[in-house]
Amino acid sequence: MSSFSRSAQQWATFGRSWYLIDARMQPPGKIAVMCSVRLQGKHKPIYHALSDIGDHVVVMNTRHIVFSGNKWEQKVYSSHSGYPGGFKQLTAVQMHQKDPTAIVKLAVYGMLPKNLHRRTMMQRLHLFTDDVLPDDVLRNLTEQLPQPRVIPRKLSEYTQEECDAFPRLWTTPEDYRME
Amino acid sequence: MKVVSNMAALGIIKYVRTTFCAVQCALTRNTLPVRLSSLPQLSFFGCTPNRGIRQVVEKQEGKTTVIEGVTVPTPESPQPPNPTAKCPIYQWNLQNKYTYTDVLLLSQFIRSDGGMLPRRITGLCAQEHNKIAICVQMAHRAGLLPNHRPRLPEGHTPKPKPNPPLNRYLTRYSLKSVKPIYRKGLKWCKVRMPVGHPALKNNVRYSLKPIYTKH
Amino acid sequence: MVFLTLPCWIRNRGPDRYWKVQELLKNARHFRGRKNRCYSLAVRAVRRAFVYASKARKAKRRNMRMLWISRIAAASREHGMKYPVLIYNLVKSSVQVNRRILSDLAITEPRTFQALATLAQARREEGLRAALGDDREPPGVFSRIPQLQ
Repeated sequence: MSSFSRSAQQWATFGRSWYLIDARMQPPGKIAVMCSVRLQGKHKPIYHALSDIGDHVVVMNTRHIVFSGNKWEQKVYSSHSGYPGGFKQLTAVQMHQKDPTAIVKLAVYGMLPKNLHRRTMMQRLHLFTDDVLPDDVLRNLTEQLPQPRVIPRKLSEYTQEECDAFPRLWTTPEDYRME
Repeated sequence: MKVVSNMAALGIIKYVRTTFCAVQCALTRNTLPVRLSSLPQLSFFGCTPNRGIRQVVEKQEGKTTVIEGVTVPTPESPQPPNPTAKCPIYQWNLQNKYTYTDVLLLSQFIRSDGGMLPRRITGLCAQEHNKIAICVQMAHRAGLLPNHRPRLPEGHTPKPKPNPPLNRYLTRYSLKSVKPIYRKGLKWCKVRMPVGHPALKNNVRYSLKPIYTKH
Repeated sequence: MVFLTLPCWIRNRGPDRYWKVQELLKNARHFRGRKNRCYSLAVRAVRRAFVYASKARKAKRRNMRMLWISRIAAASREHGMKYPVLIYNLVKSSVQVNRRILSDLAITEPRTFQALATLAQARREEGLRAALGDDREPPGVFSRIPQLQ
């Protein structure tokens, strides 16, 4: 078949698509798994480690990520500048206040393969602290990925009907003064 | 709501669960006789169909204001599947089936300021009371019970925080008691970060993966 | 003397050691540096190269299989299944297509791969459908092994 008639197929196969991930109330590790798969191109059947077929990933709301447990206080990010006395240790809280995108970025960076393509793939990761995206990014977006974690609802978000439909598990005694 | 007369001053109609069978008093500002039942009520299961929730109704008749506690009829709730059990969790066969996200369940066992109701009132067995307390704590830390907060003193406005609160879930320890793990340790004996609580490790899971509490 | 072939006839001229060196350097001619012309350096390099080649022959099979698996995993996720689920159910339906062919199908014949994925999905949901009371298979899918009498 002539190459002209298959050029559309060629474009469809090798074109880079842009994915959007909403990181609101999502753990950074799960976000990073989705990002690293798509940055490497491991979601395509034509995957090969040496053929550069990764997609672009846009992560928004990185300011509103969630950590399980007490990781905000316990987790420590270490770095060394190479100079004497250049060892720095920041907790997740300090890291987040310094740069709200840093935690997601480091998580993705650690999940990519440690080779010369890593910096190239990181260039295709676009992180935004809030849900305000620039127009040139918005124009490129093709698909929004579903969030990996189900966000639990607050008590104030339940409607009155749902609260009433939930059965009372126990009955208050007649003469107890509830505060 | 500590004293009912406070409520009248505020002029808010609220649901009050009072000890009094019928409160009728004029606006004489007398302190109401606070009469708490001293003896524990243990035989209330199935015996009291209405739950003693009273609504404070305020009426203006000339110069006198009448505050009345009107008993609110309890809506008919379905019967528990296992009514012979003592503990409400066992009555409804909910052992190991609730977690910190089930705020509709947890909110039935807490006061309006977020603390647990005493066990002699709710009738929970000790284990379930402990588990519910753990879940309530996690729900508070995850911010799932935003309106169940201790009441601030009158006229007190909280200081605006420089940074928005950080989102967290399955938080086991209080935020101030935890120290950062600067020395993670060697690869085969790392210091782990606990997630969740071991009391909830027997919870029902619908996936094959075991629950993992040491991150 | 018997000269069976041309190389043997050529080799009968000159000393044996010369030909031994040439035999070895023949394998080292494409090496970098003095290794491709100095015998004492080339000996060690050629020996190492042969060891690497032996190891690579096995590693290549392993790496190719890993590549096929990651490609099939990507393709099966497009159809809402994980890789182990797909392979397990294809084996259960006695589809004897190996991973190389499966990955080729995923790239060049996506419709064929989709058919296989549908087959695996039907086989996977067999128990669920039986539990729901609907024992029939979806139209166009024969996921069960025919019972030969």
